[in-house]
Amino acid sequence: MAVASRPIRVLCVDDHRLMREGVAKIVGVQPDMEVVAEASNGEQAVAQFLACRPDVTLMDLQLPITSGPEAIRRIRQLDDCARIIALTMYRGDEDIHRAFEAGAMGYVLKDTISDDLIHVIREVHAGRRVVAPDIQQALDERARHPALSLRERQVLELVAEGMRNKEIAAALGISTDTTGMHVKNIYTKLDVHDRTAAVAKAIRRGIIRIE
Amino acid sequence: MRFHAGEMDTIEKDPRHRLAYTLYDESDGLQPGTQMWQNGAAGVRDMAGRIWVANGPSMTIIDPQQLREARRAAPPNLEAITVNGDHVDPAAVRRFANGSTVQIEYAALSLSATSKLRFRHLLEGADPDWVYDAAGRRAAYANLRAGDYRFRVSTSEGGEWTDPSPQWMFTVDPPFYLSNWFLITAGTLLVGALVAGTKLRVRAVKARYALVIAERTRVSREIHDTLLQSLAALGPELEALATRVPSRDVGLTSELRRLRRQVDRSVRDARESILELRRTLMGTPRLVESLSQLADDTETRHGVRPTVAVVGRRPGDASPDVDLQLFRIAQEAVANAIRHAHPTRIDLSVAYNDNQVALTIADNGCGFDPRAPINGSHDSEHFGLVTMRERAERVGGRLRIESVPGTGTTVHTVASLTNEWQ
Repeated sequence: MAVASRPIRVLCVDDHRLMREGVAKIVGVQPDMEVVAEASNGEQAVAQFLACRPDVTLMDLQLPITSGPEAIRRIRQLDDCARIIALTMYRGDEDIHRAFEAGAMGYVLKDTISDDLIHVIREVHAGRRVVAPDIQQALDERARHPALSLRERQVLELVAEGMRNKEIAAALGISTDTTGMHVKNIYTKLDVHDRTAAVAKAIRRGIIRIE
Repeated sequence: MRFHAGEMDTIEKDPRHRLAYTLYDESDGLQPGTQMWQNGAAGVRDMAGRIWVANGPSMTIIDPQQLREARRAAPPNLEAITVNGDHVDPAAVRRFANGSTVQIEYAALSLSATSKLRFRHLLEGADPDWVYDAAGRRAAYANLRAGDYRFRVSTSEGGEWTDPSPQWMFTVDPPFYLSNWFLITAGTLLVGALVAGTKLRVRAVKARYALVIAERTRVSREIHDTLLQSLAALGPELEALATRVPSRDVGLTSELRRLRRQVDRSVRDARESILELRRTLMGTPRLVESLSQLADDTETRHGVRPTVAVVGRRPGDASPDVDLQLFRIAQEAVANAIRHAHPTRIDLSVAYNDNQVALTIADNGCGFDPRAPINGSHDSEHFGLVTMRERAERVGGRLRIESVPGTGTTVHTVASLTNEWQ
């Protein structure tokens, strides 16, 4: 039976050159894979995708100019069959959720990339969604908690800056009472009782970004 | 002197009762002289009821029908008032300074019997009771304290006392340092100063804290963008290298893989440190909160839920560094247990006393022989144990690990709470 001998063509998007080189090496030693293009931001990623139509795209989620999830969304709009794997340092459920929501089919953590990447590339290339057990658990945990609204997320980010309700109200142009209500709703949704715990949990879950 | 017979009974019952009487003297027609006693009688009553009294050379006839009752005495007047040596008009001046000396002279006009006129006075606020027949018909008070005073004086000519309605009311003002306006002003100023002081301090602490936050944010970003990414990229490089090693050189391949695993682990550690830096921007969470979080995470990721037990209370001034170091020890111990011992139960316990905190992490996993040499493939675990010991020492404690193969492992440490916070 004739099996396509054409290797799996990979687009690697990461803003760190060393990481791109590492990925190229680990992919390169596989006889049936090759990195055909690289990009270091979201804009380039979309352009490179259009230029070389890779079989699989590896997308770092923390990218300058256009973020990883946004680039994934745009590529999926251009080609709803595009196979994309999210690549990230973080395991917060919000990051994972955003990547899958944007259209990623796999999720690889940078600290387990050597063990997982090749396997995930093959699975995603074959059209299967790959979710590691601990990733799935994180997603399940997220599903148990109601999502924060856009406004609540804005408030939470300012809480993390150390602002008080009054200052947050001034920054967002809303009343102090409204701010207080948002903060209370945030506590309820995150299942915490104070600001410190809210910020700690938001960082752990990836609701607030490390940038 | 004449009084009702009932007065005697009253006095018998109440020795303090003042006798109500009427005194008769020359003004009533009594002749001066010495009373003569004859046959034990001072006087004789005749048929008409009159009483004859021999008074030495003269004779006095008393007709009880004609006797008048004691007159109502004329009400007294305040003759002169001196305050601190100055004469004052009682109608005009009613307030004096604290510590004033007040002297009041009074008198009453008696048209008939000056000799029978009696006085009593009372300064409400200073005298505990009426003062009778004061020498010189004068009341003097030195060094009066702040308060309201009422001076009363009344007279009697042997019968009823005149109505002692207040004759003069005056007020002694408190010294300035006890006056209401002074107390209110001073209180307001004190509160104001406290509020201002606290605000200044809060502002200073906030400013310093803002600097700390900015610096931590910068450091965490720096590590994340450079060190962490480069380190993470080393993993795939080493893995690629291990794959390319000729198959006969098995030792080299496993050595490269071991290095690669160690790099991956360092990436995880560095990432956790960065997350921790960001988390501690809001202040270090208390040990117990962190442990509950750790229990949640462990359950989510590994399906084992560690129990958390707490004895005693964390002193408010305990060093946050103790919280952080003990949490790290617990984190490492739990990670080791999950990775190697496959426990079904992990118990975390924290016990505080006044100056120490004890942390115990016990699992029911497969355990190990603590005396056995650690072989090469577990270098990174060995590194983890060393780090745990260092953390314990940093907070003035020692780490004790007890383990018997087949019965689980207990990690125990005691830290000093009086450690200087760095």
